[in-house]
Amino acid sequence: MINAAAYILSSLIGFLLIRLILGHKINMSFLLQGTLAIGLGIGLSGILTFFFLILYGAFNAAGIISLHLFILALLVFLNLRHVPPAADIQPKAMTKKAIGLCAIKTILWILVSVAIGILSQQYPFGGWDAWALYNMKAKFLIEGGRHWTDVTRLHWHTQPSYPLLLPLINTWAFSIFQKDLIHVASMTGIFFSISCGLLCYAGLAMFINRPIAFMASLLLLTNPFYIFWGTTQYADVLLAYYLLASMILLVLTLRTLQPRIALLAGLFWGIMPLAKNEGNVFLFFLIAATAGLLLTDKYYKNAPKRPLIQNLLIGVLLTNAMNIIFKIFMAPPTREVLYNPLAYKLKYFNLDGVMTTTGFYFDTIRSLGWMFIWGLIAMIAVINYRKWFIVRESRVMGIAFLGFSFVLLYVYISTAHFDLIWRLQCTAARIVFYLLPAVLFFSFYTLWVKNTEDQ
Amino acid sequence: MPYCKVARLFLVNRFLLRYNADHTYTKENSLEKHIRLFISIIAILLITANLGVGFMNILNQLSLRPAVDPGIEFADLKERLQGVRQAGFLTEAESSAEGNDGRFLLAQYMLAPTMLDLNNPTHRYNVLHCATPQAAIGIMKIIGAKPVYVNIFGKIIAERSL
Repeated sequence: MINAAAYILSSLIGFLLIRLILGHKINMSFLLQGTLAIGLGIGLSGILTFFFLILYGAFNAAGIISLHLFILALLVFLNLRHVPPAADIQPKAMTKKAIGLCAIKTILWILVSVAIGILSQQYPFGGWDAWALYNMKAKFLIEGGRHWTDVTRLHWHTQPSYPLLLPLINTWAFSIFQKDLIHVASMTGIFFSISCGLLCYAGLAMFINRPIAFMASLLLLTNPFYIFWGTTQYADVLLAYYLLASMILLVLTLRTLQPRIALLAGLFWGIMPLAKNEGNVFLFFLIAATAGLLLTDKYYKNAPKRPLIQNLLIGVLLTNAMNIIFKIFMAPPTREVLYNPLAYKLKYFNLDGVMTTTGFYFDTIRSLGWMFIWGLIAMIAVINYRKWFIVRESRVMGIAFLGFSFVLLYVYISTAHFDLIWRLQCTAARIVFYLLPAVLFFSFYTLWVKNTEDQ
Repeated sequence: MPYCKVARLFLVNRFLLRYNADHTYTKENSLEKHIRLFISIIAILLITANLGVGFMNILNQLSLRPAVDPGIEFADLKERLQGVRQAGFLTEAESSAEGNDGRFLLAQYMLAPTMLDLNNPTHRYNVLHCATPQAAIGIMKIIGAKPVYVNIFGKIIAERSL
């Protein structure tokens, strides 16, 4: 339980930061603030731990905890000074029926969370990559002393180029109790798996009927493969969460056109690349598509385009600074992406490679463990395809997903160092997993969202 | 039979076109209502199935034995490598990404923060993972090293004089 203290402290930091950013008029539900606070706070804890390691030179539990307490005290002070107590949306008086429904939802979420906790013990030490990559790197950060940077000098089998957010989060959580790193890694997986489902509800409930949003949340949280991959202690669950949060905040930014929400969105977009390298691709397409839409669509003629784009970029830079330092000064180049395909004789850079890759993904999403959730998403897509282009926010989300798919296809067919089938076997299910929450949000949002002209 | 399929496809296509032809989505039409209801029913069915599978998985999980720490076969080498920043990891087994037996990663996980250098024998200390003692002796002969520790799993720490 004491390990949870680290996550609660981080969430508190995230919550206070969100309130400070949103300022005088907080037009975001309390539940959405809370679920976003978990991810923002824990992500910031990882970033703070990274900068502590850089500045102090080694792991020091007391130092890391003190830094967190200082940030917390600073945020409390700034909140008391700058955020008026009545800043929140005034809650409407709840009817007996609404209270009953709320109680049912809470009970179901608690039951599902307990089930996720039990099922997380399928792999008490995490899946193969969890201990071989992420938990091993956390050991370097904690036990490596002044040589913690050796984590980027390891053999390529251990992927030294992978972003460090997950090991850093586990290092932070470990610093509170300093016992049993495996338990900490398991807790991180459980926390993010549950938070992602709650975030799906909180995000959808801002725009569509609550019962439908709750249905989407349960659909996600009860899916056997979602639970499995979410609790394997891989970094995929982090990207799943941050990608979903990024999509929700993108929609909120485009609907409210408030620069403060754009800043918050930017912070989340910037965290994505810290979780996994694929986050860079989403970050690029989200920035390009959002800026493109704001600058070209007549609907945004009177919108504060410059402050919106500027705040998005500031947010991205603030959280992504760690990634820039890590990638430029520490991490070796990745072997997984070929930036110059002409330098190699590529075996799979042909139609056969494309067919193999797409066929493999088709088989992956048909797998019984997904319990036909991708079938439901495909059905919504087929029924609702026009709305993808009519709803403005959907255009941006659609471009981000489509762009990512093309980049992914390129990465696969330009495989030079590995066997393609082996590579697909190692990665496809995990990619499908981290895309699921955001794609589910996208599907439900486009199908149920009210007339776009009313935005 | 093929005619039936074509007719069904035609009907589905007409239905989708009719739904998607409404460019503005200004009012919730009855078709949209029906589609949403249909999707909701399928979603509820899927949630029910998920809960059933989840319940079975929990029962299964509760009856499982506790797992063994990965890399346990290298665990006692860690004490002997205290303070060693980098050591070689030598094996006669395949070490490609696709075909390796995972022992290098197991050892790296267990021995962190000592960095292991795969099949590089230039270090003072080397961890040997071999299928037979003969293979290990052969490697030690080639690199000019002596065993300083052998554990019950046959994993060896060999030292070279530099």
